[in-house]
Amino acid sequence: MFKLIKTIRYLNTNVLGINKRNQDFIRKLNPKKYRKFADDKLLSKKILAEHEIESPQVFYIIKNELDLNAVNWEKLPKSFVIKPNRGTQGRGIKVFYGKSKKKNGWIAADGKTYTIEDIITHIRDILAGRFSLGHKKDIAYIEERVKIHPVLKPYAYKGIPDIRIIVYKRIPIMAELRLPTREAGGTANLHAGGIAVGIDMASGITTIGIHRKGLDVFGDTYDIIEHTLQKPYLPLRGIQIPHWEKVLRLASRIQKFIPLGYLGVDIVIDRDRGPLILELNARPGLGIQVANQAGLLERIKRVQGIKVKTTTKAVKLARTLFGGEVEEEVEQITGRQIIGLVENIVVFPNPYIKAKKLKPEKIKAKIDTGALHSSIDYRLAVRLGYKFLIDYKNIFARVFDDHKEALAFLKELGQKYPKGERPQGMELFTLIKSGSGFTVRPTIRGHIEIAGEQKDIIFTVANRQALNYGVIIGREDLKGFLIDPTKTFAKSTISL
Amino acid sequence: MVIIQGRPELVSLLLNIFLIATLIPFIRYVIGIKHWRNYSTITLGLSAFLFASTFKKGLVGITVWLYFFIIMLLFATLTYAFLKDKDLHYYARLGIIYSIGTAALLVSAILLTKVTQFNPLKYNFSTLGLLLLLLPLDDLTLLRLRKSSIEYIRRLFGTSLTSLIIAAILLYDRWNMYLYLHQEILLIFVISLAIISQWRLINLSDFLRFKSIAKSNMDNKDV
Repeated sequence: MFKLIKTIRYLNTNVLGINKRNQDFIRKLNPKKYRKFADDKLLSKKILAEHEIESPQVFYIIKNELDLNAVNWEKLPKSFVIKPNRGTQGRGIKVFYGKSKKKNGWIAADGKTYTIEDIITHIRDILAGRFSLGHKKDIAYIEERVKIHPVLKPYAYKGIPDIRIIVYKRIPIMAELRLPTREAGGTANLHAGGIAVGIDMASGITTIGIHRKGLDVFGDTYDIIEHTLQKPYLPLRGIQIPHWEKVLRLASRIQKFIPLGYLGVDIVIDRDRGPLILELNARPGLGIQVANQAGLLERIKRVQGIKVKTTTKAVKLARTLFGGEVEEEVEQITGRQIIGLVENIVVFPNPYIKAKKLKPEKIKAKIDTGALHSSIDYRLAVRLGYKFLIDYKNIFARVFDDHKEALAFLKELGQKYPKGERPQGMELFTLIKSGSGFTVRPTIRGHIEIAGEQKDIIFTVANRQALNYGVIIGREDLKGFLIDPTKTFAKSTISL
Repeated sequence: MVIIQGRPELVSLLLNIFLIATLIPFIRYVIGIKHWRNYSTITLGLSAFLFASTFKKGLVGITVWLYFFIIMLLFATLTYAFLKDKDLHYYARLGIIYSIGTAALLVSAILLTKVTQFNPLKYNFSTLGLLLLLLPLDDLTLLRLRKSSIEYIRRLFGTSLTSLIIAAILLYDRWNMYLYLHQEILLIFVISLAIISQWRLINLSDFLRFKSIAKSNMDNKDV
């Protein structure tokens, strides 16, 4: 019982339900007078074109019988799509992907061959409002079938895979890849039986796949799936969405001129032209939350009150705030944490000295896989209670070209400061080869916190004043971590 | 005074509309079960009530009502298949639906009489029940025509369930008498309706749909 209450409480605070979506988001952020910008797909296309945003080309707009008679069927390409202008949930969309050699017609995604008469009947259904919002009379249009990007092609059954991005006040907050299936008749709609796969916002890599369960009287529920539904059963995790940065930028840019505060943007990736806007949705479905195993409400709360002025900032914010699912997954599988090339670390004071004034220092450290040992600037070490290093100040300045000479100096230091008489915290003297020659460095025992983990560490002490980072972490101390070179840049500073 | 002087069973029939008007949005927004239009749901509920009132045992009446309801559903499905590709004027289409629908129910009544010796057309209530059963026919056909099969079945379930609950409420004599004598209880429905109209929390349907999100995230937190 207690668990049930906890679950309900969690859902109410983090997940967007249908009641809240309708009342607080669609009704308030998408006023009725502006919904036409998304509901009327031809109007959306017109506005997009005015702002030089590409969308698939429209061959014919059919408003009535007269327009229908004017269609030159012979000139239509082998593949095209017929859509209702004010359709919902993918209903009424027919994807044709080839011409039938036997019959005079086109092969649809459901495998049936449609003659011109069949297509005309379907268009008449659209015109009568059979698939439209509120079942009002509608317009049909014939659109190009975009060339699917080779990365996504193997995952899509006949139709066109698209990327749905939920944009809230210009910030892309959640995304899913939608894959057409045989069951959905080549459309990518989740209600119709398509597959949805969550996308990690930072990397654009797919995470969890879902597919609608059979009949459930309460509403759509989903199975989590690992592979596509048809042979060769391709894994759904780990697909890198092509042009991810561009996709996010496109989604965010649209809200600059479409006055809908809570918007679903459907984007297709064309093989040659890159990301194109397929359509806009003023009432985007909520299943995207299951595909991402995350609540929209929780994400909206995180960006509420933030006003972004530029697309770049909106995208940066989205990638920083809502990314990391893939990293967490890798961390779970490998048991290792992912760190970037530059990490914020905490260096603790000399553990052998009890002085209240000494405080841990938070600094940026360079993660250097080219170095074996970790190194610390001697000034920083002194501040942390290793004051005895002041006596060794001259040692840091000496650089030897000759190895033997350096070795002799090392021995000399060993005799001058015998092991038993060294100050607390001091370890050995060690010979280091660098680009400029050989140096002898004292080593100290320290303690750091990196990526939330505390560990003991042996630092070589050097003069790093002229260098960018006061600390470098070498290979010896990187056991248990994976390094992602892109992570450093993804986490760059954001100014709003 | 006018209300108190009225016949209790008729007054309570009207007063129950307060409860039904609260029940329908409750099922839709708090439970999350979709039905099709309020008008159709209430009409079907009243129809079931009238059938049940014809018999001493309400359950027998509901069974007879279900027989006619299923005939009507079959007819609606057939009409859907027949009209799917036909280019007809809207009101002419409705005319065909009602004409064939009435004929189908009359044939069903004849069959029922032959098998059970019960002729629904002999009684005021059951005849009125048949009439009410016919009224939502165009809505039902349109629903089949315009929604996917799954959505159709889902809404059909919601409508049938709500209609049967409505019929059960109307048939519950003790409740009806209580409502007639304690009309102040209507205030509770008005308050409930005000609460439901502002309902923003997740409903049962959302809960079933999204509980996996809560599970995975709460488990992760526990780790």
